[in-house]
Amino acid sequence: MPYQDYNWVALFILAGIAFTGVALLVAWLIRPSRIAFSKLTTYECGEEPQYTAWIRYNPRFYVIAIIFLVFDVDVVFMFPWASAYKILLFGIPYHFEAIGLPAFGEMFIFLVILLLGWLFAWKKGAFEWV
Amino acid sequence: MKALGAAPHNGILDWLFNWFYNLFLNWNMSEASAAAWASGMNQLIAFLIIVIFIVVTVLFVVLFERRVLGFFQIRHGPNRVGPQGLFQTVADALKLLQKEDIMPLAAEPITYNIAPFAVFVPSILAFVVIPMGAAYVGGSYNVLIVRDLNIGILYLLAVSSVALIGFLMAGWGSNNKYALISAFRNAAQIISYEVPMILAILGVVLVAGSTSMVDIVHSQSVVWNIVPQFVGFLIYLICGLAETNRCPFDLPEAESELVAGFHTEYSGMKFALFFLAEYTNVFVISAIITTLFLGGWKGPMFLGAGGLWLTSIFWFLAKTYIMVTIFVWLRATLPRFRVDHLMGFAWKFLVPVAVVNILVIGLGVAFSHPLYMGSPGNINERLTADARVVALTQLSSSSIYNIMFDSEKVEGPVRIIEGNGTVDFGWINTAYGAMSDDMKTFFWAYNVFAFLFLILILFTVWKVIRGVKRAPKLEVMWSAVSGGEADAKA
Repeated sequence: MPYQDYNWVALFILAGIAFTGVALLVAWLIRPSRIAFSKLTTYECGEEPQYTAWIRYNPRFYVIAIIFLVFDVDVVFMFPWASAYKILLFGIPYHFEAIGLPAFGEMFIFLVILLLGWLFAWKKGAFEWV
Repeated sequence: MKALGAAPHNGILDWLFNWFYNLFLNWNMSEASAAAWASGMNQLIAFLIIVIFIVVTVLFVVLFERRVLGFFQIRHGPNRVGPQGLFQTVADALKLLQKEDIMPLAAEPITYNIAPFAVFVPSILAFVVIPMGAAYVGGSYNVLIVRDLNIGILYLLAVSSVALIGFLMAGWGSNNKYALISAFRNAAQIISYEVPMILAILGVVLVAGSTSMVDIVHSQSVVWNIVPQFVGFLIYLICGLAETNRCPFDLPEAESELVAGFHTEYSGMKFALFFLAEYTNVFVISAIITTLFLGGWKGPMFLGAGGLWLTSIFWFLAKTYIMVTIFVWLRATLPRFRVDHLMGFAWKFLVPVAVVNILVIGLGVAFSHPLYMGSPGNINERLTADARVVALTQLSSSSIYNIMFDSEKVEGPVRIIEGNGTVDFGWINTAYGAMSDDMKTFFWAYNVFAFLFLILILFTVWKVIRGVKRAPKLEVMWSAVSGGEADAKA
């Protein structure tokens, strides 16, 4: 039963949360708590902390994230192709209609376009850090 | 899951089932609900066994790394607490349990406190789909896995990405500059290395024709994937190191610049959870490499049918710990990357190599090359490699593990191959001895190519790390030291 399989995933999520929760709870019960102001300041290697750390992040992270998104969506298209590749080629074991070598050729065209985009991104400096 | 009430064999679990069943009957339950509750209790016990296995494994991996790292550095490593330091990690956990928990005033409490959950839970989730062995019980062949999800490897990718959100939460919630920089670096590094990693996995999926982890292991009955897909193996290994923030990719935890990275502000048990999650991930990545490229639990089954479960678990753990050792070895050997080199290495080198790797494997499958064919679709033939070992030996009846099996996929009689009951090292013969000449030529050509590729990768890494070190010119050094004061005076 494929859908019931995911009950076990839910069970593992619950177990993980329970394990973490129990560990923190036990620690909360037995640990000491001697609060002092200097302990509660942000750690900056002994310096007095200046301002907040919540800054606007550098745009290069944004560029990397966009490039990653492009590749990730492409990969989403490739997983069904990879799982069905032998069936597309040979028609076994499920007796589908085989389309033969075009199963490779079409993905080849797709990947060539992907690599062209990759080359474009490189020339535009998207992969340059700094 | 099998309907345990109807199971014909008399294993420990059936005994347990009957015990609970009678207990619940004595509590005036109806037969149906007593059976349901007893079955539920059995599942609970199986589940507890898995959880205990995970905890013990993680505690052991921590000790294993510290000991092995010690041997690499010509010292003993922790060896005082218990025999050979076996209880060192337990002692550390107990120590951390008693430590004061300090949350900085500037931190954002909700994000800060949820982060350990968001990092630790996904690392546990990966254990759902890792096949750890096979067993021959009650006349049927079973795989030791919690659930054989049909999306197996995709599920693993999805789950491992969730931890990234936990890292970002830890970095952002701490309101600490080191933690935030570390979290950003971590995010950029993990998403960059995920692309070649997925592309390397696609090669395995092409040969297996399935994303299920069990199918992937069975597709390696003839040849382990590491032989025909050595390039993919190396790419996956490198990306696995980067995903788990291991040396030489441990930039998010670079002590010299970022103190402790995203968990700088965490102390006590919360820190321990980050630590445990990291080592769980090391084991999980090693287990995934074992499953995808090293044939999972496959190996010479020298104990026959009754001991199939033992030998298969032995091979799985042996291969996994070899991978863990390689991880530690790399940590002991290599210095840290520089951050721009790190990103460049993923995007400019690994991605195109991984794409070409897919094309090569796709061609290999398209032209029916024997090395790339995996195993046939017929479930009986797919199980041949293990079933041969099982031939004509008495079946074991007692089993604690059959509740964890996913036996739905292999229902129906497994074809038993006639043999004489002796130990069968058939996998060695099929791997090389039984190859056709054509196949052998390809085998050696590929290996020579793979070796050259390995040298290329090592050379690249060497250049990347060492190429930075140039002799600085005296004038540049002087102006850096004087800080442009001379210019101002002039």
